[in-house]
Amino acid sequence: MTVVILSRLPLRDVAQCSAVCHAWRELTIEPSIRRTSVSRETAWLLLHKCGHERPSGGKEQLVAYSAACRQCHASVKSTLIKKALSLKQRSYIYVHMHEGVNVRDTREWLMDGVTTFDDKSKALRSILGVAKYVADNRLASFVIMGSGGELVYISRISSALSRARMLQVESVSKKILVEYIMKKYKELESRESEVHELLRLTGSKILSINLWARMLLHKPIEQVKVAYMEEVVYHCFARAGLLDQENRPWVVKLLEALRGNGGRLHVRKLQKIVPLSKVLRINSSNLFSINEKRELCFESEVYMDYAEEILAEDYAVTTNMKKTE
Amino acid sequence: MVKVTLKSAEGDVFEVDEELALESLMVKNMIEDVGLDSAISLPNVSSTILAKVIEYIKFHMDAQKDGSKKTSEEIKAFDDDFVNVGIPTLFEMVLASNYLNVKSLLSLTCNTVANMIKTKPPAEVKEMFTSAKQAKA
Repeated sequence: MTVVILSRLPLRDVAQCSAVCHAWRELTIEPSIRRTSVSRETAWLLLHKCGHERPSGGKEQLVAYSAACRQCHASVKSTLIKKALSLKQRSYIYVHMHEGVNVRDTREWLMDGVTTFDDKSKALRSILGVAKYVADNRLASFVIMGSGGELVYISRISSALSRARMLQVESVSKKILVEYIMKKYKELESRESEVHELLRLTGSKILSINLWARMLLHKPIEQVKVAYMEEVVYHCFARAGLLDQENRPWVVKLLEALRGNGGRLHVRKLQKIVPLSKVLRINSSNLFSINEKRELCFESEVYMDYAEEILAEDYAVTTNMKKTE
Repeated sequence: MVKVTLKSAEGDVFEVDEELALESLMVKNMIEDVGLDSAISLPNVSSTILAKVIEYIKFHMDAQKDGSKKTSEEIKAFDDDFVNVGIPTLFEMVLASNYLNVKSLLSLTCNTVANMIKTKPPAEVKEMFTSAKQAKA
């Protein structure tokens, strides 16, 4: 009897009724309460079953399910979100929307949801919470960027990123992510290590090297930890093959700054990660001191190829010194 | 007009038109099984409730008849008035309409109860039902 009455209630109230007593809680699991219509059932699933139960069976059922999802799209948005349901439920709704409805719907829905949320931090967290379920990683990052997540959330993003295996994010969103970080780099100063991590996660290619170096140079040099700077430089050289005209000046500047700050490039360490020939190609400038060049050559297997050049330079320098004396 | 005799839990006897009695699917089945000769006993329904149920069915049958002057507003007013009773009585009516299998009345009473539950916090709902239970006992 109670079931008959409950089946006439809106699902929100049914949900409340499940809190009345144990007997009612059992009752609210009763399928007949929610099976009065397809959309009702879907709404029920969205709210209660937390994704463990999805319509099984034929294509028709699935079509009906997704249709129902779309149908309750509006009501879910207007009621559930505004009424501050628990974040967990919200995330489940996201997941459901994602599974049931096509990606575009979800994206619109998420974006819309994010802008109407009073508490952006909560919204972000819930989105990131589901990020690992989201097949389309681009969507997740799109949402992160679109929500204009304040800097406070950067750390959360970074941890969530790794959790969500954002490494697989397409290059487009990597770019967006990095650009976003760079736009905010002034405020990010205190969060160096997090940004560092974030950049590593994005699989720092040439773009991030450029921005990375630029970011470091923007800061007063004495504030930058030498060790950190060295690491960046090594990283830059590790990808030396990618260093093009645009990026080289930045790296050179960075190296100079590093020098100015008393840092020293450990040639052996460098050699482990970069083929020497590549280093020496950059070498034609004043990037390295003569001593370092020497060291590089003597350590190297390709000594013969470059030794002559270097020794000639060495000789010129020595004669110059003598002259000045 | 053939009359059907209904016997309530207390043993009170109600004589109603067959047409009216057939509105209850349960009574209809009973009539088909045992015929019209003997009184149909309804041990689960008290006299007051049975009287109310009969009143309800009667009103709606009159309203549905051709040439009835009752407007939908009047019917609605009757329904509202009909379910405007104490919670214990209402619950008994729900049970009776379920037992007697009167679809329209069941729907009306269930909706009334549902509306009472609606938007109430769980604690209040619990209160409502426990007090009804105590009153019944």
